[in-house]
Amino acid sequence: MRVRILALVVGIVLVTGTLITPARSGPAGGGSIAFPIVGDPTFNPWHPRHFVESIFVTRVLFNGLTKWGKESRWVGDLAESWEVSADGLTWTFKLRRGVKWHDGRDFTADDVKFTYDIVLNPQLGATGRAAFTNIREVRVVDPTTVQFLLSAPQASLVAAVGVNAGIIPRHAFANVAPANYWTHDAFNKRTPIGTGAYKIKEYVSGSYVTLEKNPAYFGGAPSIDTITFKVLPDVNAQIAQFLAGDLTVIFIDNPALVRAVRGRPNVEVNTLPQNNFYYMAPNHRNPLFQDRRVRQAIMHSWDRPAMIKGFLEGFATPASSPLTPVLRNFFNPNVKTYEFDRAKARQLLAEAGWRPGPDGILVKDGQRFRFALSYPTVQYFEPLAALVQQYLRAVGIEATLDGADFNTFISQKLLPRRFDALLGWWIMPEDPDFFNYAHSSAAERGFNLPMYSNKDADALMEAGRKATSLAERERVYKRLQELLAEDLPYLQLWWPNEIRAWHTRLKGVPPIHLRAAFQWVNEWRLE
Amino acid sequence: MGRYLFERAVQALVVLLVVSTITFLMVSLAPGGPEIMVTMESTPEQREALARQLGLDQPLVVRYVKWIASAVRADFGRSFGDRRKVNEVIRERLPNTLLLGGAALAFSIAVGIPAGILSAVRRYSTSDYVVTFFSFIGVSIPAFWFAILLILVFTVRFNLLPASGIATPGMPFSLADRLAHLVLPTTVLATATLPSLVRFMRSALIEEIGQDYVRTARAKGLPTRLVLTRHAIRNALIPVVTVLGVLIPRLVGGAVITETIFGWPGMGQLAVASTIGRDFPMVMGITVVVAVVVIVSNLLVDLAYGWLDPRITYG
Repeated sequence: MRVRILALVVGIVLVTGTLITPARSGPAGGGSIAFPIVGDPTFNPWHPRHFVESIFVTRVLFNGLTKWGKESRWVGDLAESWEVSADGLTWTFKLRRGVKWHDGRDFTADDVKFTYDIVLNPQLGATGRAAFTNIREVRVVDPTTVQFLLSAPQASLVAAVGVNAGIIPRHAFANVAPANYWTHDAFNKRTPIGTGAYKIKEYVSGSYVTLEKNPAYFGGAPSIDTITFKVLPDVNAQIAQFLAGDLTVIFIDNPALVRAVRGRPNVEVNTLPQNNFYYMAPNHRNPLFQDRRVRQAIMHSWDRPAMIKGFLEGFATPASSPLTPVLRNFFNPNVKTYEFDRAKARQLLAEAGWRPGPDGILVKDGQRFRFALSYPTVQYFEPLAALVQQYLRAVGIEATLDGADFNTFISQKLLPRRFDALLGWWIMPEDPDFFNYAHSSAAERGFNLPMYSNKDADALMEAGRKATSLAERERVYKRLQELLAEDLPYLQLWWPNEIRAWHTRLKGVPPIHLRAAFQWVNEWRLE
Repeated sequence: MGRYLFERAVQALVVLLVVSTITFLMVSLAPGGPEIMVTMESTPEQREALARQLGLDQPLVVRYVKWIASAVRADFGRSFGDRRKVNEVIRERLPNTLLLGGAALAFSIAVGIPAGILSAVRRYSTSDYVVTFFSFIGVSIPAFWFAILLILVFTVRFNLLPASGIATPGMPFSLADRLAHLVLPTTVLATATLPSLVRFMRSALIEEIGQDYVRTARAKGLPTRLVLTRHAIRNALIPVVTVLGVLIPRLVGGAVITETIFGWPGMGQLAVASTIGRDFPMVMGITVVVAVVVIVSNLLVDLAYGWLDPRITYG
C-alpha cells in the first residue's frame, strides 16, 4: 500500500514535470539564442573585473575603434578609417558619423577621449591597460576625428584598439568622480549604454542577462530578437543544456567532451585555428636553461603529435614558434622544427656538457639536472605536467611537479617570477607584435615570463613596431620567427584549435573565432 | 525563557566574533590575492593602483579593525571583484538559498520521517530492506555525480526538467516554472540530509518500541497505530530533532556544490566564486550570514524540544 503511494507521488512529480516544462520553439527570423558564460558579467569593458565571463556580453553591447574582420584582418568599427604619421607617433582615426548610443544620444570623439582617459589614468588600473602603455595622449580634433599621440611607435595599435576595447559614453559618467568609476553600479552592473547591435533588456544576478536587438545599429539591424547569456559555471551543465536545446551555441574547452555532442541530430561541431599558444616557459635566469642546446634538446624530447592526440583529440597543431598561421602573411612556415628524437636530445645535452649519472639523471659539474615544473591546476595542465615530466625523464632530466590553483600560481610563481619553468598559454590579439611577451624590457614588468633577453630579438621586435609598411612588417616578423624557433625563448607546445558547437538552425556566424564572431552578431540568424 | 534567549544571544555573538576573526585571518593569509589584481596580463603599477583602491596597502590589523567597525553596523563593504555592495548582493542571493535549502529540508522531513517509521515498524521486512538500501545509496553517492546523472536523465534524455537556473529567462514569474527549476537541485541537496534522517528515525523508533511504556500501552489493548502515534513516535522524534540541528549546516555545505552545478543563483555559488577570486569582503559577508542562519536554526531546534517534551523547559 505504502509502496503504491510512493509510486503515485513519483508519478505525479514526473507528470507535472512534463506539463510545466516550458515549450521550446524556434520561429523563423527573429527568435532568440542562448550562450553560456561562466560567471556574473560586468558590463564595463574597462572594469578591473572585466574577465572572460564578461567579454562576450560587452562585445555585443559596445564597439571598439576596430574589430577583427571576416576576411581575417583588422577593419574599422567605430572608426571609419585611420592613418599613421611617418614617424609612427601620431595615429588619426576618422570616426563613423551618425552613430547613436542606446539611449539615443550622439556618439562623438569626446566619448573616445573619455574612454581612453580612463585607460591612461594610472590610479584606476583599468583592465587591458598594458596594451596601451605607449599612448601619451588622446586628443579630440573635431567631433569625428581623434588623434592618439604615442611615446614610441606601435604598429599593433590597430589590433589593441579592437580587442575588448569598447568605447563607453561620457554622459553615463557625467556626475561621477574618476575614483568612483568602478563602483558606478548603475552603468557597470545594471544599465550599460553602448553603441552595439544589442542593448540590455534584463539582468538577473548570478542567473542570466538578456539583450535585445538594437534596430538602429550602425552596422545593420540584427535579425535575432534576443540573446541570453546564461551563467553556467559547470561545463557538464553547459553540455546538458546544449543537448536539451536550451543553449544555441557553446565552446568546448575540453576536447574530450567533443564526443558528447558530435553526431547528435541538428548539431554542428566545428573547429578553427586561433591565435593561442601553449608553452613551457623556462626561466632564462636559471643556469640550467641558459644553454640554447639544452632548450633545443627539450624540444626534441617531446612527442608533441602524440600529446596532441592524447590530450586534445587532435584539435591542435604543434607550434613552430609563438606566432601562429592565423597571422597569414606574417606567418613563416620555413623555420627550424623539432621532431620527436630522443637520440638527438641526448646528443645536444651531451654537447652542452651533461652526462648521465648513476640513476640515469644527467649531471654536470656535480649538479643534477633537476628543476621544479610549475603549473596551474586548470584545464588539462595537471596531466600535461605529468606527461612532460615523463618525457623529460626519458632523456635524463628530472622535473618535480609544482601545481597550484590558478590564483596562487599567478600570485606566487608567475608575477614574482619565482619558478624554474612553468606551463602556460597566451591568447594574443591577431597581430605579430610579440614585444610584450619576449622583449627584454618586459622581463620584470611585462609578460616576458621566461625573462628572455636577446639583443637581436629585441631589435626585431622594435623594428616591427616601427615599421610603417606592411611589406616591411612582414619581413621583420618572418625573420623574428626564424630567430624565436632557433633560440627558443618559450619551449613551444602547440597552437590549440577553437572548438565550438551550435544548433544547425543558427546561420550566418562568420568563420572566425567566436569572440570575434560575436562582433558580427547582427549578421547571425535563425532558420 | 527571556533569560535563556538572552544567554543564547550573547553566546551567538561570541561565536560570530570567533568565526569572523578566524575566517578573516584565513582568507587574508591564504596564498594569492583578489583576482582583479592577480591576472596573467596585469602590470605591477596596475596592481599597486588596485591594491590602494581596495585598501590592501594597509596592514592586516588596520584592515581587521576597519572591517569589524563596519560589520557591527551590518555593513560588509564592497566586493573586491565587481565592487558592488556586499549587502546588496547577499540580499539578492540569500532568499534563493533559503528557498532551495528549505525545499530540501522539507522534502527530507516529508520523506525521511515516514520512511524511517516504516522501516522501524516493519523491521527486517522487504520495505525495511528497500528503505535501508536506498538510504545507504543516498549516503554514499557523491552529490556532483548524482547531479550530473539527474541532468542526463531528466534534461538530456527526456527533456522533462530544466537543468539549471532558477527561472526560464524572459518568462514572467510563475510558480510552475519555479517548481520545475527546483526539482533537480532539491533532490540532489536532499541527499545530504535525507538518508541520515531515515537512519536516525529508524533507530530512535526501534529503541522506543522496545521500551516498557510501549509494552504497557500495548498490554492495555491500545491499537498499534495509537501506540505509535501517541507514544513511541513522539518520543523518538526528540533525538531526530537534534539530528536536524546538525543537518542544517550540512545543507549549507551541500548548497555549495549543488548551486554551482545547477547554476542556482544562491549563496553557495557566490561563496565558490568569491573564494576562488579571493573576494575577501564577500567571503566575510557570506560567512557571517551563514553563521547567523546556522545559529538561529539551532536555536529553533532547541526550542522545538520544549514543544515535543514538556519536561524540557528553559528558565
